[in-house]
This record gives sequence, C-alpha cells and structure tokens, in this order.
Amino acid sequence: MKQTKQLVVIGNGMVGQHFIEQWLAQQADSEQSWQVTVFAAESRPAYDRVHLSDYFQHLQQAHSAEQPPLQLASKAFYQQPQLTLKLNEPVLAIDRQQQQVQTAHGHYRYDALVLATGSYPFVPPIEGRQQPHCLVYRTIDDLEAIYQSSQGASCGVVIGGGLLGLEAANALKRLGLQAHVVEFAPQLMPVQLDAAGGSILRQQIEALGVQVHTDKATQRIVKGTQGIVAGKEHRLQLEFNDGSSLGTDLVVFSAGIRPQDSLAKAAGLELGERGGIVIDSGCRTSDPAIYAIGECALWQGQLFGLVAPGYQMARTLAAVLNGDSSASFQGADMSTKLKLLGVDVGSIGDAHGRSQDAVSLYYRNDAAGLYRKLVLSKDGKQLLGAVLVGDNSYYDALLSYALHGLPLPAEPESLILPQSQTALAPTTLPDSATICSCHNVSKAAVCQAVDQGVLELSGIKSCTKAATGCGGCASLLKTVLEQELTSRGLSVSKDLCEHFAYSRQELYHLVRVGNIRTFDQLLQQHGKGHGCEICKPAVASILASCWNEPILAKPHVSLQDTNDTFLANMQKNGTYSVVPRIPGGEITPDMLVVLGEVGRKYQLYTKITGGQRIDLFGATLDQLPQIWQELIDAGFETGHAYGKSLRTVKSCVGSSWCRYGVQDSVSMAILLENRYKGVRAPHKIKMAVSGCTRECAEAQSKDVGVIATENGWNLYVCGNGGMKPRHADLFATDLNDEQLIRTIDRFLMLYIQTADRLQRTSVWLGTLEGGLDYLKAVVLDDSLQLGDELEAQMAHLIGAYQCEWKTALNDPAQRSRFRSFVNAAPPERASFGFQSERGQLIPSRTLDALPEEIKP
Amino acid sequence: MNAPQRSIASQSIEQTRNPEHSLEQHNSEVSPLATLPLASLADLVPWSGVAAKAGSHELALFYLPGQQPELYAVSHRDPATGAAVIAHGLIGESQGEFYVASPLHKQQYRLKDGICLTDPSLALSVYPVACRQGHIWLNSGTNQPAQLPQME
Repeated sequence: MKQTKQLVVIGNGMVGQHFIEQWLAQQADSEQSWQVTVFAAESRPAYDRVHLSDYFQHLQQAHSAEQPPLQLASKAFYQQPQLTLKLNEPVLAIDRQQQQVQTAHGHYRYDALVLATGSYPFVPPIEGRQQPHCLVYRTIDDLEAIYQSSQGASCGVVIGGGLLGLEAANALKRLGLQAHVVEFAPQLMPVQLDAAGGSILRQQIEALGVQVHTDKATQRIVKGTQGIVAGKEHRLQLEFNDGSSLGTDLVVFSAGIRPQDSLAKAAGLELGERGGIVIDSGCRTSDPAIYAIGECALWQGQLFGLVAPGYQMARTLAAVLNGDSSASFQGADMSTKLKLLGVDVGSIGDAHGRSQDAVSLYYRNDAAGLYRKLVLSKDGKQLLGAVLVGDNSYYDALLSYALHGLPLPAEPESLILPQSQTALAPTTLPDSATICSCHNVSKAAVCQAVDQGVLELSGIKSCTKAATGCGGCASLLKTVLEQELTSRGLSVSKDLCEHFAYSRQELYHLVRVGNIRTFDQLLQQHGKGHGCEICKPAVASILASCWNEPILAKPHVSLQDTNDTFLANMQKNGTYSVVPRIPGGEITPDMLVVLGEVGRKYQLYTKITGGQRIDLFGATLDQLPQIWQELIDAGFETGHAYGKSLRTVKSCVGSSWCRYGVQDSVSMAILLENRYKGVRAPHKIKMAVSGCTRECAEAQSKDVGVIATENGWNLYVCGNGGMKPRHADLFATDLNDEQLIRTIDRFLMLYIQTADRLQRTSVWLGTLEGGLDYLKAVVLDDSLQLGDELEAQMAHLIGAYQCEWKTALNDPAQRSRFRSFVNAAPPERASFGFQSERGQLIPSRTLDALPEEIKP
Repeated sequence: MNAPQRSIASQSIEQTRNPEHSLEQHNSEVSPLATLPLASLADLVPWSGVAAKAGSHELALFYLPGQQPELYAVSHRDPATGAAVIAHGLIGESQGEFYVASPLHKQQYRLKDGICLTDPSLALSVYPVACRQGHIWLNSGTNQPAQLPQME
C-alpha cells in the first residue's frame, strides 16, 4: 500500500508549471504516492510570459475556452486527480516547524515544499511612481492595466532599456502608442550588448519609430502640462536629472526584476546578500524539506532570469523528489537569442570581453544595421563570447563553438564576415574540430572515411556514427563531405546514369508532372541515348509507382530486369523460383496441400522463407505458366518476390491465440499485406506486425514495423535486417487502425517519391536532412501539406492492383514469351544441371553438367 | 509490337539486309555460312532478347529496331556462370555502343563483338544473322551447311 505524501508548490509561473509537469510524468514510476497542491497568487493558470507582448494580438482573435491565449496547459491537465491548483490563493506564511503553509483560506501540511515564486518587477525609487498610469510589465493583469491606460492615450514611456523594457516598448507600439524608451545607462541592453552593439540596436529600433533616450535618470514624475506640440496635453511628465523633461500618457517600469523571496525571508531560510533563496545543486534550500527553483533561487551566488535555466532546475527537482539522487543542477548558459521589436539580437558568453587578455574582432555595417563581435581567448583559439545585432543566423554556429570549446579556424573573422554564408565554414574547420558532439566525431574521422572510399552521406553516417545522435550536425556533415569530395576532385553527381542527368526523385516528378507514360517518352523529353540496365528498371519502377500499369504491358517489357520480365526470381543455374503470396503467413491446410502437390509434381525444391511463405525452386521458364496456372486456379496469387515492392507482412499469432497478445496482429498483417501488395517502390519493402511488446514478429527490423499496445498500435519505421542491420525508429504511438493505415500510406508514398534507386528505407532516412524529426513533421504533422496528395496517390496505386500472373496467363501474347527457345522444344530440365540433396533437387555443385562448349 | 510498327520495322530490316554487309558487320573471320532459320520476326521483342537454338548452339537474339544493324546474335550462355540466361539480359547503351548486361551478375558484353566491358577475361561468341522474308537467318545466302564460329 502506497502512503500518500503532500507536495506543496508555491507559484504557478512557467517554471512552477514545468516542474509539476515533469514531476507528474515521473510519478508513474515512483514507489511513493504523492498529492500535489499548487498555490497561485494570480487568477490564471500558468502562461507564457516570454511572449507576453503577443497578448494584445491574441485578445483580438477568437480563442478556445479550453486553452486561453498564452496559457501553457489545457484545462484537462489541471483535472488530474493527483493535482489541485488553487488560483487567487497566495501563500501568506510558511510554518517550518509544523511543516504547514498558511493562506487566507487555511493551513496546508506539506512533506515537501517547492518555492517557485519567481520575481517581481523592480521599480526605481522615483518620486511620483505610485500615481495612476504608472504601471509595470510582468503579468497578464499588468498588460490589461496597460491596455486600459492606453485608451485615450497617444504616447507611452518605458523606463528601462533592457531586454524586458524593449519587449514592453513593443507592447506599447502594438497598442498604437508613440513609444519611448528611457535608459539610465549610456546604451540599450547594457547587460547583453557592448556599446557598439547597443548603438546599432538603437539605430534599428529608432528606425521602427521608437524613441530612445539613453543616459537619462528620471528624477520625478509629475502631473502633465501643456505639451510642446500645439494643444496636446499629456497626463504625465517625466523630469530628468539633466533638466530635460518628457510628456507622456503612461509610464511602464521595466527596470529589471528582483527575486520574490519575501516568504522565504519571513520563514528564516538562507538568502543571498542581494536577495534570492540559496539552493544547492539538488535545488534544496537551507531547510531540507523546502526547495526553490526558477528566478527566486540563488545557485552559487547566481540568479537566473531566463526561462531555460529555470526549466533545468524544474527537471532536476522533479528527478530529485522522485528519488533520483544523481540529478543535479549544474548552472546554465545565459546566452540569449531573441527578436526585439523585429530586430535580431544575440548575446553569447562573455559578450563584454571581461575575461583576462581577451581579444575582440568586430564586423559593423551601419547602413544595413548589422553588428557582430567575437570575443576570443588570448591565443585566438577559443571563442569566449559574441554579440550579434541585426542577423541571428550566425548564432547557432557561434554558440556551438563557445559551448563545446571547438577550436576556431585560423581566421576566426570568417565566422562573422558576411561572405561566409554558413558561419561554420567547414573548410576553415581544423581536422580536430568536432563535427558530431553526440558521438564525438572529428572532421579528421570524416576525412579518413572519405579516404577509405566512403563517398556517400549515408555511408559516412554509418561508419563514423556522425549525425546519428541528435542529428543536429547533419547539414554540417553534408557540407564537410561535399567539400572533401570536391577537394579530392570527385564530382558530387546525382545523375541516375549517362542517359538521364537527373536523380531518381527528379525523374519521378518529371514523370508525374509531365504525365509521362513510357520510357521512350521520358528519354525523348528529358534524356539522351538509348538507356541502360540502370535507368531502364529504375524508370520502369517509377512508371509503375506513378501509374501502376501492368509491368508486362508492351512498352514496359524491355525495361524490366529478368525477374520482373518473367515474374519469377532467376536462380544461379538459369531456372526460376515461384513464390505465391501467403498474406501474414496464414495458410489453410488445403492451400498448403496445393503447394505440396505442385512442388511434388514439378520436382521443385521447397523451402520456408524468412517472410513466412514458401519458395518453390527450380522451375524452367517453360514450366512457369503451367505451375502458376495451377496455383491461381487453387486461389493463390503472385507474391511479388521478384519485384521492388512489398514482400511480406510477417506476423505473430497475436491476441487470437496468444495469452500475451493485446491486439489481433494476424488480421492487421493480412490487411496491410493485401493493401500494399503490388505497389512498386525504389526497393523491396518488408513489414511485420507483432501482437504485443514481446515482438515475436521482429517488427523492429522491418521497413514498417507495427507493435500492438493496449491502446492500439505503435508504428516503427526504417528498420532493416540484412547486410546492415538497423533497429527501426519509433514513429508514432497508440494509433488506431485508421490512423495507422493513413500514416503508413503517407510514409510509403513519400519514400516512393523521394528515395534514390535501390535505396531501402533505412538508408533513405539517413539521407533526409532533418532525419526522423523531419519525417515526422511531414508525415504526422503534415508540415509540407502533402498528406492528402500522398494518400490520394497511394489510393490510386492500391486501386490499380492486379495479380500480374493472372494478367499474364490471360494474355496469349504475354504467355507465349515464357519459352526457353523461340525455335525449339523446351530443354530437358536435367540440362540445367541438378543434383539430389536431402531428398530434393538443387543446382549441380560442379560444372560437369554444363555443355562441352563452355567448359573452361 | 502492333501491326503498323511491325511492317515498318521489317521493311527497314529488308532494306539493310545485304548479306556481305551483314557479314562485315558481325564477324569477318567466319567462313561463308549456310542459311539456318532461327525465328520469325514476330518472335522477337523490340529492345529485348529471345533465345533460339542452332543445332546444339544456344543463341541470344537481340532486336534493336531503327539501329544499324538492327539484329544481333550472341551466345546465350553466360560465360561467368555457364547458365543459359544472356537473352534475358537488359540491353544498354554507352557512348553510342550497345551491350547486353548479364541478368545474373550484370557483366556488360558488347553486342557487336562480344567483348566484356567490365571483365576482360570474359567474352561472348557472336554470330552473323540477318532478316529475310520476315524470318531471322543465321547468315549467308548460300545453301551450304552452317559453320559456326569456334568457341574460345
């Protein structure tokens, strides 16, 4: 029996909310049962304070009652039984002795108490700061007050030219006011930017119509007088220390924040000299039952006024409270990248160059409003900090140099000069530079792989593991590879062959868009020469993937590889194998008897395949139509074992028999196999469906793997067995039948459209920039709005299915092609060279059976 | 191949049928040959191959309508494996020259002389053929028995 403990959280801001989400997520695994009560002083559940100035925009749009504008979690989240959210109920005191908190409504006991009280806006002690229309900028209530005050107003002043002040100025601007920013320091954003960066930012912001007043200390705010502009009266007037003044209708204080530590102070918890609740790396305060996270917490003398470090603390604490003693907050990088009033601003590390002996490099373009600075170590090898104004596209690369301590190129200025389009210019990267930090792969390792003859991105990925972790370095890796290939004089040609200067993907689109129906048409319009054994089958496959006309229709016959030409797999001695479809591996005894009888009659070698069906080997070309006629008459159809198309959908017996099965995996496998049979693809496709997580169908080694859950199906994609085994990636969870099929439709069709020739899904995934996340975005979130089209094309292919063997047998012209010689009787089967082994016939192991003339 | 196409194709073959010319085109070392009927034109598949027997020899016949020449005959046996499969290979073209790719391991054999373009140790035998009166003949217009080229 679990014993219920009480967890009390004070504050439902962004960090407090993130904490309860993380904590609840981890609760499932916890031995201990907890009840959590959250006290919020505000009237709203947690909302996104970072985008506060968007609030006015949201006010003008319709929004759902389920999740009001900016709110972080849905109503349903707060209805979880373990969670009680008390809005409008600020905690008044903490009784550490009794382990209780006191509110206006009562006392609440706690076993653990979390302070997520955040911070409050600092209002400088300016005379007259408390009169009407003097406001702050922190909460939605504050914004509503600003909105009320803006009615009938024409201009507003923000006191404070930092990050929040500029956000507040943006809010005023959005309300249609003439916005002013008054900053005490000589520049804007003095914390994040240097003087030059501040001045470029000022220039940009003034160009947007915001008036900036720096180096001004406001002494008092008085009632308004007649404005300088004729007849215009303002509600208020600001008087500065230099004797100047500024008329305004409202004032917003945004001069920084202070940690909200008053409750902690009253309770006698240890605070920092200038405020902030002291915590250790487990977010514990000086009272072991009380924790603090977010802007109110002081870790190693440092406050963190950004949301990302607050979230890190929240995650750490959630783990700590769930018994993970290894969880620990290790500080956070305070680099920031944001858009203020539409202007890009970025600040990384030691932006001011305060480190000892730091040297700086600058790029400045006043006309374009661009400024970039690098702060380097004395030897110029490490990036300590950076400032960006006007263009943040340099930010990510610079941040990775700074955070990972990557060695800088010999000419580090190349990182901020305009001509270097990709700031991480790979040619300038030294061999020791880390390309992939997840797997610690250096540029040298990539070059070495290229030297060893690995010339494709997918190959580089599989042999170095680069870009197979988070995938964030994929495009950098691609650029490095292409540069290395170019520098070795190797062309990076994607041409299919000498007849088509296009990739398979491009040809696919040419065929579709141009409604091209034959190889000759395509060759005439987009190719040259007469084609070859590379492009002919590739184009035949594309034509089949687009239009799904019978592959043995006249114009297509000469394009097919032998296996497709004769709808059978050619074996080493020139005979063929026969593989009827057995969907899902389910077969009645009667059908099994048919296979046995056919095998016996034609003396075929018989073997069970890995895909749960039966392969009959050793048929001559002349025998194929008779054999297939017998099979089709008995109810079999072609298994497409010869085609670049769906092979089988393997299945375990599932819930119909198995005591562990949770879904009917056999029925689903049969449904999938019948749905996708005959669809032509760049390469063969294998699928499997398992009825529970024991995974007896080995679905995770397939192109498409489906594993049953209690709630539906989990879908895995891009797995592979064979030469380069790859575990499939979990793609979507708990899908119902309809969702599962729709997702597979889209996934397969996207693969068919974009993969290279003879590229399995596992390799194809490796070539997608953005990898699995990209694939999810396109297939699940429909980010390219291709979903309907993909589904429609798949529906077309499925609708055009026919059993190719049945078609061939019904057409005398096609049937007549199945003969070994056009002018002679069929050869004796013995002439192909067989010997007996374990009671069956296999190809002769020696060359003795071969005709005299070709003996070596 | 539909009917009109066939008549155009056979016409153009008739026009280019000069036996001496064909001999030169194929294998000038071969002594004059007797006529052996191999197949009817209707048996051929444009831009593809069929197999035919000439005595104990197995031939692969390839038909490239509109090309010069339009017909090729090579040994049906794959020199790499000994399997009778060459007629089922795909016809390819590179730099204006035609070849057949073995269906088993994709070696390329030039149709005009049988030379293997991908493995110099391999080669196909080539045979002179021509089309006359809608039939494919192992070459020469004389009535002498056919003499087939020696195997290497």
